[in-house]
Amino acid sequence: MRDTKRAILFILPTYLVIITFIIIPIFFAFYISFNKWNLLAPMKFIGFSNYIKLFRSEEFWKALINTLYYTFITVPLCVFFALVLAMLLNTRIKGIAFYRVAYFMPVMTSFVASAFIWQWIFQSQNGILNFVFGLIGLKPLSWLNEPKGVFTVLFESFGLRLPDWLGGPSITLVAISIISIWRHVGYYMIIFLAGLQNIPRSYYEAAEIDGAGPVRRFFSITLPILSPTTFFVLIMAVIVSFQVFELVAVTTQGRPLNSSLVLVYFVYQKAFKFLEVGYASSAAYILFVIVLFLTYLQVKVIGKRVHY
Amino acid sequence: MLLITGAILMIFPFVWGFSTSFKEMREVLANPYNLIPKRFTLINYQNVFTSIPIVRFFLNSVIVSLSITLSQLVTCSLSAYAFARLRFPFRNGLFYILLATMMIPQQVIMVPVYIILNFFRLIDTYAAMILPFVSSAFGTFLLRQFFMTVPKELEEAAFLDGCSHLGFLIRILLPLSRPILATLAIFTFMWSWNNYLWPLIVTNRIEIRTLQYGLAMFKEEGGINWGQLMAGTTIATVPILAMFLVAQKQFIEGITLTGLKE
Repeated sequence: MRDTKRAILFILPTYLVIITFIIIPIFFAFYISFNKWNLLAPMKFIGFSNYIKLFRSEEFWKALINTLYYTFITVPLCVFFALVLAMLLNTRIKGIAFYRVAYFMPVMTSFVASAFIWQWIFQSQNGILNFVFGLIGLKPLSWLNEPKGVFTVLFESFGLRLPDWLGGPSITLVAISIISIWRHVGYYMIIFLAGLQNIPRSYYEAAEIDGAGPVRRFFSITLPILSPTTFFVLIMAVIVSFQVFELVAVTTQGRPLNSSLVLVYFVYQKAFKFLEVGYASSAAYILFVIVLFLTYLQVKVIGKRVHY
Repeated sequence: MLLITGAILMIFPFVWGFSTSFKEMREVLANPYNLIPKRFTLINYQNVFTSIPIVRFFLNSVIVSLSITLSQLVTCSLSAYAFARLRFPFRNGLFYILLATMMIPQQVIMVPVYIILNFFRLIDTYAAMILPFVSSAFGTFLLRQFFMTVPKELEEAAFLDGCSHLGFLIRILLPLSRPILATLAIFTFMWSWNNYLWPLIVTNRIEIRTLQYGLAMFKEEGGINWGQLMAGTTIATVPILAMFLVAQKQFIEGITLTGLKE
């Protein structure tokens, strides 16, 4: 066809970049993960050794569990708040533009910047959070340096001791979660808002005439029509949350006691600090597989409930 | 109401950080909770400028972000047009492959990309920070969706007048696509400006590192000087915030466009 030559020319720049920097690396990474390499000496093929070492590594499991904790805290809360806020904002109140800007501001900042500001807020001695805690009579926490689990601390305030493994995510991890929620809510809120505004008023009016209360209206109209949007937001949120890195790198670097170690940071450490490139690659691939799997799960489970 | 509390929660960290940046060290420790400093001082900002080469970092960030944004505008427009309007074998297949690459987490490919760049001796150069992002699947996707909504009649009329594809693209389609191009530009610029992981990995020399890294540098200096840190953070954030306030409307519209066109 006449267009072919032209088309090839047009998509060449994009495709060149994609092939060089994404497609080739994926295969390359796969290959590396079966090798032992420190970038200097020649690669040494070691088969599945990296993967086996990974599964035996306490650090790796810690990173994985932390990332899962983090995801299960951040995503539901974030999406929930985003939805609630979007619904609140969907009513005709004054100053909607102001609210949009306000809520979106955290999204604009870099992770580094927000991490610093929040580190200041979470600071043990001078941070405002502990100050507020003091005001309402709670014990101040060392937010970003506390390896004890949330539940452990909770139970302790009642004088009970919980076994370590029931402690739950560390306070530190929860703190990082909070920063993340703060940062992402605005973004998802805007998406929900757009989705909400797509629902014709007439549906609600008809339901009202039929005698449906606000709760009923929400579950029968809002939720179903919003489902493609919710679906999109959930998937995005999970994928993004699994890739958390900057927040940890800037604030805690995985301390204390690896309680805030997340998968990507683990990969980063192994690859660039310890130069165990093959090992890092295998961890990265596991991450990749997990993300794929979670996305697939979501598509299957939630996809069924999505109405178009 | 709830909304107001939420809004305050969102903005508060900024406000507090901002006010801290104007406090002297003593006051930061003694009176951290006041929003209005007892003794307003610019010393933190002064220190920021002297202790780290922040101007250099700022410049580097500008160079990198601008280059990436501009090149994406060009390359993505070209490929988006091809996928939207031209006919060629495997068109759909190639497009879906492109889409699929968007799902790959950055971390999986960062090691190999580093190695590839290393092989070409490009580590520690501006190129390392720019090349992998000269084009993007996301940009192509975004623009293609938009291009597809433009009526074919426009093209046909242009061809009748003897216009070439490229001519049509440049003289008619692009000017029509200003909103979406602006959205892509803002998105890309913001993403690149805030990017920390990638420049961290591919650069070693201080001279070419970007602003986010410069910001992170503050942490490594002995005990944390919060006032200074906040000053640095403010400097790093203000440009983006300013851009945002100015281009708000288009930006938010842009996000909803990407969020819904699934």
